[in-house]
Amino acid sequence: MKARFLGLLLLALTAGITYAQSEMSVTVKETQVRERPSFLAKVLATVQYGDRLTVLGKQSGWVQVQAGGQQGWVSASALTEKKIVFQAGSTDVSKTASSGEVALAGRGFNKEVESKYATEKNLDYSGVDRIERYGKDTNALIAFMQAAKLHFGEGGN
Amino acid sequence: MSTRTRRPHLPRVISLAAGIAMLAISALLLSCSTLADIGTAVGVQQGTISESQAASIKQTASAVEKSFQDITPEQEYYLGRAVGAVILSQYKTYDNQKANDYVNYLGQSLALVSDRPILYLGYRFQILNSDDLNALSTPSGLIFITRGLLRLATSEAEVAAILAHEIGHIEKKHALKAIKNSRITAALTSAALTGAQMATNQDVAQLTEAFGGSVNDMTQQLFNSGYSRTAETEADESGVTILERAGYDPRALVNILQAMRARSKPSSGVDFTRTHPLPADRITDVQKTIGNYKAPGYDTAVTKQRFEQALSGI
Repeated sequence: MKARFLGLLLLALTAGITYAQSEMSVTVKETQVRERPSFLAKVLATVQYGDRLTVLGKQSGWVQVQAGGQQGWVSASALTEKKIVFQAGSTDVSKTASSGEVALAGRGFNKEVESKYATEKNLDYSGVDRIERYGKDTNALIAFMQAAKLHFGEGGN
Repeated sequence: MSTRTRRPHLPRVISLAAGIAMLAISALLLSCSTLADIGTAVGVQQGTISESQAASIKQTASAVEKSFQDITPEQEYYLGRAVGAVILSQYKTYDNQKANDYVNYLGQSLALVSDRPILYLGYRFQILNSDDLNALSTPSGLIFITRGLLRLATSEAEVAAILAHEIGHIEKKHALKAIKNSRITAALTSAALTGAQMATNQDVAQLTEAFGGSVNDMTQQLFNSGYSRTAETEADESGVTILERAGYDPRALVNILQAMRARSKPSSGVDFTRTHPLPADRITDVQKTIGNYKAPGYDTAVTKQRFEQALSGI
């Protein structure tokens, strides 16, 4: 009887863990859902900061997800198990403060803080803005990688 | 990379401002017993939270002081942009597009095989117009390399070795570790408390203070104290891993360190040897990490040609 109870308890706990891990949030500005776990694989969809994705499986550095109608792979480094909220209720606020289970998007160090800091320090961000606009040509990047026949982009781990 | 011929100094105004920020934080600390007290006191005063909410937050928040691990990629992005802006107040950029494109594509390719291939915005690389032997990175993925250091490189693999080392610093969050936990706790607790509604001017002022302090912690380390020997060793190890995964011969890191050793004068000061591992020590460590690596049999004709085309005039 006791063993059966413990078994049930274990099952409940495991189920709880599985359930908790079944969704992940996008933690970067935007990233791609790919056909295979590789940066060279075809892009199926683009997901945005805060999007919740259903987790289907994991493989060294990649997470297989369901995003809208698409199933594909997202780099694990773009995902978090935390829930990211844009409009926080009081429960979210206390969870953020205590356990860190929730991340509040756009709060904390944000554009507004940056502007105030730049003004106070008389710091010029134009150079940083210009550099950030560089190097966005994905096709040129893939051509660069493939030309050398090295192992770029075949898995993050 | 940390060997340099000249160390730039932060403008006095930044150190002064940081000093004032420190004083302000100390004053707050004197009047409140914990950081959670500060945040909740502000929240209750402004009517953004109730007394009972404040009590529960205080109870739990004080038990969980925040550290660099709690900084989200979005926060990293803003912190890194600020560090980048400070670096660019010290150095001028070298704006040859062909050379910068090359360094960007090479660096981004390497980042993809690192343990952190994706950041909030992504990795960006920029050449600095300086004869210093230096490379610098920010938590947001901005990586800078001087013309002086690029001139020392004799192959694409050697440039890759420098960039891979810098990616290693970002992967291991070395810059963020310099930020005092008190600032992070203050910032994240305050962020949580104002999460339910628009932040007030006072909240923004408090956050900006914690932000400025954090940026100052990181730039002080970058320009003055340097990363710890452990951090440099970790970045070298990550660099070797990245090079091997990409298919480059990791011995390129040894080659570029040897070139740096030949050019730098470590006898020039006690501080240098204390804060920066000597290239000679790093070479020994890197050689141990590499072990019996066997170079892959890839054709280097493509990398040789594009390296020369992009960087011959550097």
